[in-house]
Amino acid sequence: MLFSFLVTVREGVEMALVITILLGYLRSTGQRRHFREVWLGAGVAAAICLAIGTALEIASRELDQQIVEGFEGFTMLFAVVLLTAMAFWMKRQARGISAELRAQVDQALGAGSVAALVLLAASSVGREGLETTLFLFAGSTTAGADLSFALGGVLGFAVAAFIGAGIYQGSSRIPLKPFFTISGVVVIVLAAGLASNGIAHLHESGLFSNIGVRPWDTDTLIASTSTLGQFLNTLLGYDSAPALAQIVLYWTYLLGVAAAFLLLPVAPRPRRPAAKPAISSPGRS
Amino acid sequence: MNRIMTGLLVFVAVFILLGTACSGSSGGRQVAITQTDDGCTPQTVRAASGEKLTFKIQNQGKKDHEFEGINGTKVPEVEVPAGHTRSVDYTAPKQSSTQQIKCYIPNGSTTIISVTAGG
Repeated sequence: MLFSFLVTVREGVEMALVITILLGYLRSTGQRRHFREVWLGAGVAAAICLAIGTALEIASRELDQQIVEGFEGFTMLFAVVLLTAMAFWMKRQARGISAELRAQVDQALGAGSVAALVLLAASSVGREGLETTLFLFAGSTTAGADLSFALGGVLGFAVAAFIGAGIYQGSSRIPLKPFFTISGVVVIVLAAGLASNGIAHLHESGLFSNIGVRPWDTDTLIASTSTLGQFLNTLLGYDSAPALAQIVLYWTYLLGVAAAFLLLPVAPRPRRPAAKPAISSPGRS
Repeated sequence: MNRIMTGLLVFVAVFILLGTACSGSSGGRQVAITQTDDGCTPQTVRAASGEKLTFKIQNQGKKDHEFEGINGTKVPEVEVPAGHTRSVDYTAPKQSSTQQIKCYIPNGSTTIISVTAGG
């Protein structure tokens, strides 16, 4: 029970983080009607994972590990690109939305952005969901009591959803500007970890045979296989003995993109002529 | 908001600590596994039914190895970089059976280690 609980909490929290940030962004820019797309993406991905899990259970065999590693590696790197684009996109959109305006702001999202919302939600839920499926499948065969195993998994997802809802609620109290800055940084930190993990997975899939020397090994401190190690791996990309390619990519990405995100002025948006309200609101003191 | 966030943080910290304590080094009998670029030894391991083992995997080769249970064997995947040592816990099933662990270099040599449990 503890095993399945920890697996679903860990993977669920990552899904919840991305979805929470997406929803929080849409909420604060008055685009709640696009919630549908986020849930659609998440729902489709979850359904696919369920289908894969069911098929595995029926066929009672495992996916070839090397293929899974390759798939995970590529989806992680793909997610890095998506998440980076999301951070900067949010920053651009957020510009000029002042607190008193935001209730009225009802910007139109382009078709491309809507597709990006679906993709982001789907890729996050799909990737973590597949991992959950494989972990649970591997664990279930020897876990003994089936009911408590399933219960643990459900409980874990519930806790993750609760954490997500808490962050969503809490974030509504944060003023708009810090909210965008914080969630942008969170997204970039997540993406940096994914970049490092992506390289590691492609290495494990046999695609990159050499990813450089491993300058240190902290496995005796925090083992990669321990609960804490796996949490840190999922959320921050922790690797007890990272290879040079991982270290370089992680820090280059993190410092470079975070600096660009925090310091660079946003590119001016294609503007409609002067955003002066056409009708002056009556009764303004 | 602060109350909610603080509550959440405390909650998360507590269960991570709990989880770490539970799955921490509750190490069982140590079983040494040696990896070289040509394969892994030993190829058979015996365990009493329900016995806890800790595989201490030493990679003496020049290539990174993977070590993981297959066909339902509950050994989490672990990467053992060349020249490094990793430990993995494993609990043998109660009923007697033969379980399999795959020890391999991606696109390289593969050894299937059989764990005979119980009996």
